[in-house]
Amino acid sequence: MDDPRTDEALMLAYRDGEAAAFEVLYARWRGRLYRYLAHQSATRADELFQEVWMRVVGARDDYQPTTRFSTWLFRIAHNRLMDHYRAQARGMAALYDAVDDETLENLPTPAHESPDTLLERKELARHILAALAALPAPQREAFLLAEEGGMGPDEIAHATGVGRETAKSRLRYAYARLRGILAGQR
Amino acid sequence: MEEHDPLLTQAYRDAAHPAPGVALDARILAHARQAVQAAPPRFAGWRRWLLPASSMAVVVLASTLVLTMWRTAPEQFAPTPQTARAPTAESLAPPTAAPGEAATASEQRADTARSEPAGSARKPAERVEASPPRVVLVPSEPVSDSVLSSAPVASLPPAAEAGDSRMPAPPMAGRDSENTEAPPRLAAPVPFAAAKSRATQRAGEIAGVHGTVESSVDSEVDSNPQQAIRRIRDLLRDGQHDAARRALQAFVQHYPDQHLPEDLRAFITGK
Repeated sequence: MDDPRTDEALMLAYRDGEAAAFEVLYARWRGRLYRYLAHQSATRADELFQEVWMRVVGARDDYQPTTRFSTWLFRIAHNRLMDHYRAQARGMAALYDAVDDETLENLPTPAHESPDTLLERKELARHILAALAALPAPQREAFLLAEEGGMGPDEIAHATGVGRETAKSRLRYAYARLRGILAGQR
Repeated sequence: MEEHDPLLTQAYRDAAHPAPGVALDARILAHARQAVQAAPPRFAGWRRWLLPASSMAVVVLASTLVLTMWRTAPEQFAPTPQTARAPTAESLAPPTAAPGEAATASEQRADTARSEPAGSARKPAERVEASPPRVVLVPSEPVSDSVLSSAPVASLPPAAEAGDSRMPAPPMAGRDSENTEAPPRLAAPVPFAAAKSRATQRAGEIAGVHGTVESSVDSEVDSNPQQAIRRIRDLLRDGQHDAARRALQAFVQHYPDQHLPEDLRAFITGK
C-alpha cells in the first residue's frame, strides 16, 4: 500500500475516479480516525466511523485541497460527533458550544469516570486511557486531534470551529491533566 | 507543539487501542468502490471537456452572429474606411436623411429606448425586421451607453422574475449595478454577524454562562446548512458578492461534507 502521493493528491485522484487511491487513504487514516471516535463514543464508534467515511465518499466531488486532508477529515468527524451529541446527549453538545476552559476545569467528573476509580488499573497506558476518558469532552477531543491527527492548535481550531486561543487552551488543560496522572503513577 | 510530552504520547501509544473490524473495513471500501463505479469519471470528464466545449460554443455563436449580420446588412461589411471605426450617430442614420434629420432620428431612438423597457428586449427579431440598421446600432458607444444608464431600472426585475433567459441573471445585474451605483458594501456581512451573535447568546444561555465566549463553536447558521445556503443566495441576489464569497468559503470550511449546489460551486470557483 506504499504510495508516494500525499493525502491530498490521493483524495483528488479518488475524486477523479481512481478507487485504489481511496484504499491507500483509508489504510493511512482508518486507525487514527477510529481511535478519535472510539475514545469519545466507545459504544457508537463503528457507526460513527462508517458514517464519516460515507460522508467522505459522498463529498468527493466537492473536495478541494484548501487544507490538509487530515483537517478536512477530522472536521467531518467532528461535525458527525456533534450531531451525535446533539441527538443523544444535548448537555455534551452544550459543553462544546459555550463553556470556557476554566469552567470545564471546575466541572465535577462523573462518578463512573472518576480517575480514582479508573486508576486502579495496573498499567500506565491504561491509566492514561482512563484519565483521557475522564477529561471534559472538548479537551479530550483536542488531545485526540493532536495525537491522532498530528494537528497543532491552528488546525485543531480549524477542525473544531473554535478560535486558536480556545484550541490552545484546551490542549494545555488536557496535557496538564494527563501529565498529572502520569506523574502520580511514576 | 509546546504541550507535547513524549512520555505521555508514548504511554498513549502503548495503550491497547480499539480498531475497526475487518467487516467494517470491507463495507466501507466496497461502498467507496461502488460510488466510483456507479458514477464513472463523470465529473472529471465534464471538467476535461468544459474548456473545449465552451470555446466551441463561443466560436459557433460568433460565426452565427456574423453570418446573421452579413445577411441582414452586408453593406456594413464593405471594406470602406467608415466601417473601420465604430459607427457614429450620423452613420447610423438612414442614408436618405439630411444631417438635421439624422440628429432628430438619433434622439427619437434614445426616446424610444427609454420608453420601451423590458418588452423591447423580448422581441429582438421584430426590431431587426422593422428597422434593420438598428441591429448594428446597438454597439455604438455614446448613444447606447447613455440610453442604457438612463433606462428605467424597474424594467429589469419583471423580466428576470418571469424567467426570461435572455435577461441578465440577478447576480450579474447586481454586479453591474455595483460598478455604477457604489452600493453600501459595509452592510454586506451583517446577516452572518447578526446570526453569530444570536448563536453566541443562545449558547451562553444553554450553558448558563453569560458574556463573551471566544469558543462559540458553531453558530446558529452553522448548525443549519440549508439556512446558510439560503443566506448566501440572498447575499448574491443583493449583489453582495464579496460577502457571499466569504460566507461560502466559511460554509465549505464548516461543512466539508455538504454537497454544494451547482450555482454556488460555479460562483466560488469562478467558472
